[in-house]
Amino acid sequence: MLSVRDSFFNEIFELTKKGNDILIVTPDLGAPSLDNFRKYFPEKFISVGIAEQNLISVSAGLSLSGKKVVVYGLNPFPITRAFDQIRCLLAEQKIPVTLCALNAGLCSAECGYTHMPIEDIGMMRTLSNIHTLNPSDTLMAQKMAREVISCDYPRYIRFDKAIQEILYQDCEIDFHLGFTTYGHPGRLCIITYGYFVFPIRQIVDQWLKKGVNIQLVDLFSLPVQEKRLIDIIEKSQQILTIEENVLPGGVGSYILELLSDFQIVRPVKRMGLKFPNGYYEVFTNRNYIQHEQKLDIESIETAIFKLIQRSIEMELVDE
Amino acid sequence: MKYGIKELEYKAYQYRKRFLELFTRLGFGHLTSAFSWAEIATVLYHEILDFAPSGQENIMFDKMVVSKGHGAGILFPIFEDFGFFTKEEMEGALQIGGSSKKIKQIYYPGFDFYGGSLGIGLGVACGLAKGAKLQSNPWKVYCLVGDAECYEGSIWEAAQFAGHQPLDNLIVIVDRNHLGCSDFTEHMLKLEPFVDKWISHNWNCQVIDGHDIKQIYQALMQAKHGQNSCPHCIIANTKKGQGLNYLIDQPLMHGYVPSGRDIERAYRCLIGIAEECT
Repeated sequence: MLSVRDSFFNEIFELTKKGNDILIVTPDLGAPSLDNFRKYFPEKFISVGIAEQNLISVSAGLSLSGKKVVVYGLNPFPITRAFDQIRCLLAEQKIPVTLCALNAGLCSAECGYTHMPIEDIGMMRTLSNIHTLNPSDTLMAQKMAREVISCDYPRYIRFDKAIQEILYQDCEIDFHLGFTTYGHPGRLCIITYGYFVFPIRQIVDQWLKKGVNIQLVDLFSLPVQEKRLIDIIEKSQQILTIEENVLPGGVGSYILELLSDFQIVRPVKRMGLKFPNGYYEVFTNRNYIQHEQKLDIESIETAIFKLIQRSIEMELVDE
Repeated sequence: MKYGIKELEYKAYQYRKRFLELFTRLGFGHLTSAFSWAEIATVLYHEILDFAPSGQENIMFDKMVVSKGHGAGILFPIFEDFGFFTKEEMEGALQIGGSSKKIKQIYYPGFDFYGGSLGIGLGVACGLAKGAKLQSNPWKVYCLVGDAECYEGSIWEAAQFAGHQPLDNLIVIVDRNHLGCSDFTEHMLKLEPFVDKWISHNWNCQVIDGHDIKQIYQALMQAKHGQNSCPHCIIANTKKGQGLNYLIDQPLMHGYVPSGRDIERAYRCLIGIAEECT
């Protein structure tokens, strides 16, 4: 099975074979799915060395020279180290570079805090013009690759190495809309992205089979068509946001802002990372942190159960 | 040369004078940084850069990246002189609430890059130069960086990249005025041996007097037509605030624009009334 990254780069290779003039620029990072690209198109694969600031500047210049540019770096460094370049070049000047970063959230937690992009959603959300994308299935990643040819704005794509499923059909993915829905609105609307989409769809299926209306929103793009999103989530009684990102600035934070802006009142529970006293002083990995932060599937199931139970109890009280 | 040395010197003087008019009216600007490269800009735009006279973008023309964005103010009088802006358009744009729409719509070499966050322009210039090579385009990329900007690590990331590629279509002019914002560079944090640093990154490097029109022209022509397969660095020794003697070698004048009675003093100094220049 292919990961979202490999699905993306296989498509880039195919597009290049067909004559599309795409450059890949990296700060010393490879991938099995890039081996063919490097072999057959060595002049289109540019390494700037481990120099993320220059990575973004050079890519901006290449794009301004007329090239289609895909940047591929190891997260969070292209974001956190080169944020000023992203801010002043890609975002402000709307330079249509596709910035891909390997590993989203806690993917590389075993390498420690340095290798965890867990603030990047909030950082990128503050910028103009740039779209942050979290492919939640390999088909979506493939479709994101095809957009390299025509996209006229900068994009930041987060690859989660644990995602290998195909959940969607091509027609279900609307980049202009920015999200997909699954299930039916009712007692709970769960909003998440990337890694959590597949396991939470399974949880949603279980509730739907029991006749409980519950909806999942895969917020694969930020920003989204906000009014359309509000139209969806206001049909549910409660909202649950789930993310492998610190809570400030994350998707939960985004939803609270939207509700406030549209003057919608709904109870919102946010599940995400909290490090009030800094990072752990033990060796960790994704499972460890998910368990500690109550972001493991069991904890998420429990949270969903409690929220649905509360919704039923509230209804009984009202009656 | 299209113009004589005296003519270009006079143009540089006129650009400084017009800068004074525009930016004292605005009440904000970086006069010392702009005046520091006035002769360099004059030679670049009148003798060296190949760009569309109508200001229309064309991928085949030379590129200019003003990485030390605070020095970009001197380009307004130059583009006005070229007829890209009328006097009214220029003055209309350079005021609070003035529209930058025309600046953004039309291609002006040097204005298509939004400089100011120091250290990021040289990398962009590298990307433009690499892009030109990949497309076998003949245009050159020129980049102005400040000497104190070279404290930024990203300058040396870009310098390594350009030297490795090698980008022999890239010409960097370092405005070596020996002043940062608060202090002299060699007092604050030594940049020397500056030439050696560029050469060690596989660059060709020349040192010139950055206010001498002839030296600027010769260095830029040599770099433009150089055949040594290296990117080119011209370290132009300049004076920050050149043209206004009372500012020369004065730290803490980075964001200076004369105001009040100082405006008249600046004009009198610029036009060479000796007693005002000390």
